[in-house]
Amino acid sequence: MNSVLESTRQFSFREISDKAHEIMGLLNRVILGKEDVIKRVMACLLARGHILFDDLPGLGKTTLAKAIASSVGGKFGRVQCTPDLLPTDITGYNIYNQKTHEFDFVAGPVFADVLLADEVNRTTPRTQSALFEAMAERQVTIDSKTRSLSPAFFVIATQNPIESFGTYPLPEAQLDRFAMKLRIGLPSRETEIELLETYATNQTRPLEISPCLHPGDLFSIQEQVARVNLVTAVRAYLVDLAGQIRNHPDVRLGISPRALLVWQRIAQAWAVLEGRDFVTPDDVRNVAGPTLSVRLAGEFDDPQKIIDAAFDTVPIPS
Amino acid sequence: MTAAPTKSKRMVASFDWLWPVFFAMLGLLATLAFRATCQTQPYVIVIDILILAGLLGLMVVLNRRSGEGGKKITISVQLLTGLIVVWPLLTAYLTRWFGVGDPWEVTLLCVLQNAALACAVLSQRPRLGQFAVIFSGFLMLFLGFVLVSPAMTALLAVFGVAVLWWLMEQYWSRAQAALPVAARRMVPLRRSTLVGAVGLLTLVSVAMFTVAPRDALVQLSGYMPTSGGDRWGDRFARDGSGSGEILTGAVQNATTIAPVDTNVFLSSQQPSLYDMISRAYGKPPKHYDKKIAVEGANKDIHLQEKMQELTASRQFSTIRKYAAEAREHQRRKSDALLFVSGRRPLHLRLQTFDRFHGSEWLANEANESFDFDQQEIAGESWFRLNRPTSDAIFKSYAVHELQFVNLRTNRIPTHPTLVAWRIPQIERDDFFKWGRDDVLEMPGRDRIPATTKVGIMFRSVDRWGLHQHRDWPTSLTEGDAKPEFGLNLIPANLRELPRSMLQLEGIENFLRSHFDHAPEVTAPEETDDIVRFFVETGRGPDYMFATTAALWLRDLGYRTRLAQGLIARPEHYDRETKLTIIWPSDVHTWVEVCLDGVNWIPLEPTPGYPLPERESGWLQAMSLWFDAASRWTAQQWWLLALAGLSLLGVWWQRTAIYDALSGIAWRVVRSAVSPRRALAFGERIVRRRLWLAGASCPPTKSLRAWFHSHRSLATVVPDDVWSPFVADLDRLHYAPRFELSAVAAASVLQDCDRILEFVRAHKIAAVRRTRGSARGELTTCDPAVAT
Repeated sequence: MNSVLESTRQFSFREISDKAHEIMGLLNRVILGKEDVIKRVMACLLARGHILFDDLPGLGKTTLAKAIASSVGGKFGRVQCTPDLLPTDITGYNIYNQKTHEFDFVAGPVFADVLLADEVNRTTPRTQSALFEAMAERQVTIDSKTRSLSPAFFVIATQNPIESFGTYPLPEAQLDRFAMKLRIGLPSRETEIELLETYATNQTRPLEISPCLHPGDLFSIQEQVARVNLVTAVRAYLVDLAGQIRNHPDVRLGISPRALLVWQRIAQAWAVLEGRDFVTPDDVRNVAGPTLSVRLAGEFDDPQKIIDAAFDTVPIPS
Repeated sequence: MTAAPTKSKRMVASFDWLWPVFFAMLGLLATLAFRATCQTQPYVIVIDILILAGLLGLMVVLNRRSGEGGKKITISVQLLTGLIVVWPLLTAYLTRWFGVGDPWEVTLLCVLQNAALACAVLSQRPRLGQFAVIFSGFLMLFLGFVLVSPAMTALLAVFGVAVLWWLMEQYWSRAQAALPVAARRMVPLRRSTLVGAVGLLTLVSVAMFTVAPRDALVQLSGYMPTSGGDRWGDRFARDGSGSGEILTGAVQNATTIAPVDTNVFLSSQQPSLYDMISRAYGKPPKHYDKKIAVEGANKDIHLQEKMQELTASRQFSTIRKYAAEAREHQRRKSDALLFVSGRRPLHLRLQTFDRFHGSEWLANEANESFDFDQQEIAGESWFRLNRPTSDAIFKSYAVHELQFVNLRTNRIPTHPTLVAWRIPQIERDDFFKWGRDDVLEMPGRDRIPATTKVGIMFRSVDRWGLHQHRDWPTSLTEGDAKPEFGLNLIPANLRELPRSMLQLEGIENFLRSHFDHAPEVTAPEETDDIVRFFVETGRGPDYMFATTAALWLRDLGYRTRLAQGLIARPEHYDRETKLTIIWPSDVHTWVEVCLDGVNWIPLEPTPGYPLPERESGWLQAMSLWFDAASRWTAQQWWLLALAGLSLLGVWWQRTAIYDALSGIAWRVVRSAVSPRRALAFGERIVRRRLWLAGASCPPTKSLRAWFHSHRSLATVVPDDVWSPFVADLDRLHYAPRFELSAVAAASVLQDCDRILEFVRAHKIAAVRRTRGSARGELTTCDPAVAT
């Protein structure tokens, strides 16, 4: 389970970029016409962040999660969140073994490298918090015993935006655990035609993805991504942008320091995906929308407008 | 997370010390300028500056060694600071021993100057930096009041702008700490605003220099309220009104304000009017042969005229011998003729000449003489001249006081528009006489006693009224002879001007701008056309200017005459005594134009001499300016049209011109500097080129994002051209290190070459607004790219 820690291989930035693009190529074969979404998911994965898909059912979220798990050579887990779901259904539980007269631990789906939490807002807050502890600290505590999860633990959660009845909306503090909120969106006409052609003979989508990484490589890559350079001017640019957004009159809940750290890390991952070992203001801008929209709250309909206004105000460093 | 602003703030703060140093240097310059006017020996100033520089340099070294970035002031630095501050006091005692030192007030200013410099060196501590600014500010303001000169005004202007900027920066730097981040962007500082403000300030400064009266501090050598010497360093200058030889010198010469023992003063002469004129212009040659050559009836007439001239002693020849001693005499400063209070410049005439014969001006004894009577004006008894004046032209009254010193004549220098005069305690009108040549005199006297104070009142001429005036006298009197030579030299454009003040000012300005004032130039004795000689020579003394102006204007139908007298120059104004000193070198000749038959106004055709004061409101001045400008434009239409077409052509081909020039600059820079600097230079070229093309990259977007987002740019400039270039720029700006191998450097330069060459070759044109397109689109002349 913790085999990822066994890897000591050091990747260069170019190798990381190549591997990431190789994985993205595989994912693009599985999810058609969503290159931009896949690139952002990849950035999130490299930055050790979690993703919340705020989208309609049937758009390929599960498929994407399974494909990611396969491509990174990790274990895939899935939780279908319902109101009667208990925390132990996610984390696992101890059961008495009558043969050995001992309690055996039955691991929950959270003990995976990639976890898909479907319709996370349909389960109770108690269960949600169990999941969020795992997301934030990459560990779970069961019967006073703390168990570590995979260091590369990656959660893809989904929530249905149109169903409000019987749901438990995620509070802002819990939304802050997610690195990004994305929408896959409906595919284009051409993509749908291609989709129909592919599934004309098969009932289910074939997942013929062979792992691109050895066990443990993902965590090594994630650690390496954290070493991508940020010059002071770009850091100041990030802080100025955050301040600008916080001071926007329509924003009630601005960007927390934790969010700023996540933003920086995702910008680093984006720089790697762009083939660079340093972050530019364009990287900061490219990841700002999905990174910040999950955590901004206030009197506005579209957080992207607030973000764009900030970027249109703060000069880029040069 | 908080590291970034701290670093940024530190970087900004690291340049804060420049401001106090800059202000202190301005204070130093101002003090040096003041010391120069105090006639401190130059070598004393040089030695002083060298020692000061050494002490300050030592202080800088010690301060750096003290650790903590100089924020901790060690004992040695403190002692050195004290030494620097009191250094002028120490040196004052030493230099006074040799009689070359500065006066005490200058010494104290030097103490303040050194304190400012020392605080500037220690300005890593913000409080000391502020002290440096305050000390420098005091110096600048104080010296700005006591020292009036163009250099000081310029220093004061620079200081004013800089200190305003410094205060704004201080305010905003403090406000930023309290304001949200968003407020930083609200600072209304744009390059165009800055350029506009600086341009406006420059214009105002130039206008002030041009329009405002310019004064100068002139030392009253020989008349200083001191007990001797004409330099600050003179021994007696600091001894007060003494005794012995000093007191004797004072008693023997009552014209001194305070006892003075300088030989220059004691030997000063009191020249008569004739001597004064002769000294200034030299003596005319004697023409005995001319009397013999005249025959018949003409001989009688000529002799009669000559006798009349000699009897009246009213003649002035324009053929004179230049006397070298005249220049030598002018350099002497000890024999001022007159002190004048009131506004400057002031033309004070002593004699006038109406008739011009050959090369000589003769006084006209047939002028109308005016009566005067005694009146009480503002509680004082004045003699008022009964001469009609027009309120449309003559406006406010001006009062001046003349104090006679060494001028030996019974004539009172007066302004052409004199209204009244007074001498305290003299109330008998038979003491005065209004002469036939329009000059006030005290008959029966050889001279007006020295130290006599005469008040004169005259009316200022309104420039607007003059320009509205149309009834310029045209009738020529018998003596107002119209010459017949040299007058075809009047420029045609001046002849074509309407008969008005505009034409008069045109002649005046033409002579001032096209001829040089050269007092040493004299006409040969055989010269029969002084105007032609002057025009062909292109230079001459002031009487040639005045003669030429008078004769030209006569040819145009004006009634003119030559006026000779004294001029009160603004640069001879002394702030301490509030008086303008008139030296022998201020003897001057100008021309006067008859306004209405009885009133005359002065014109000043000689360059270097101030124009007579003519009042005008700003609205009237603007109107006159527009009038003159429109006439000038009409005259120079072809030149303006050519300039306009040239500008239009430059504007039309601005991108091509910029491409050509930037291409040359790029080729020079890429081979001369490092790849890093070359790339930065290339970026500036591209950004400016985009601006010229109407696709200026906003400061909130990178070039990469701009190329992506700008539809026209993405269409016109291929991705493989701009993408490598902006990738290099990203590395230049945001990579922690920009170290390139030789191959990589060549690649970077090639990337830069490609985009610049592309822009140049395909002539990315300015934005062309097309129908249905609000923002316009970039265009290119290359059909391949366009498709």
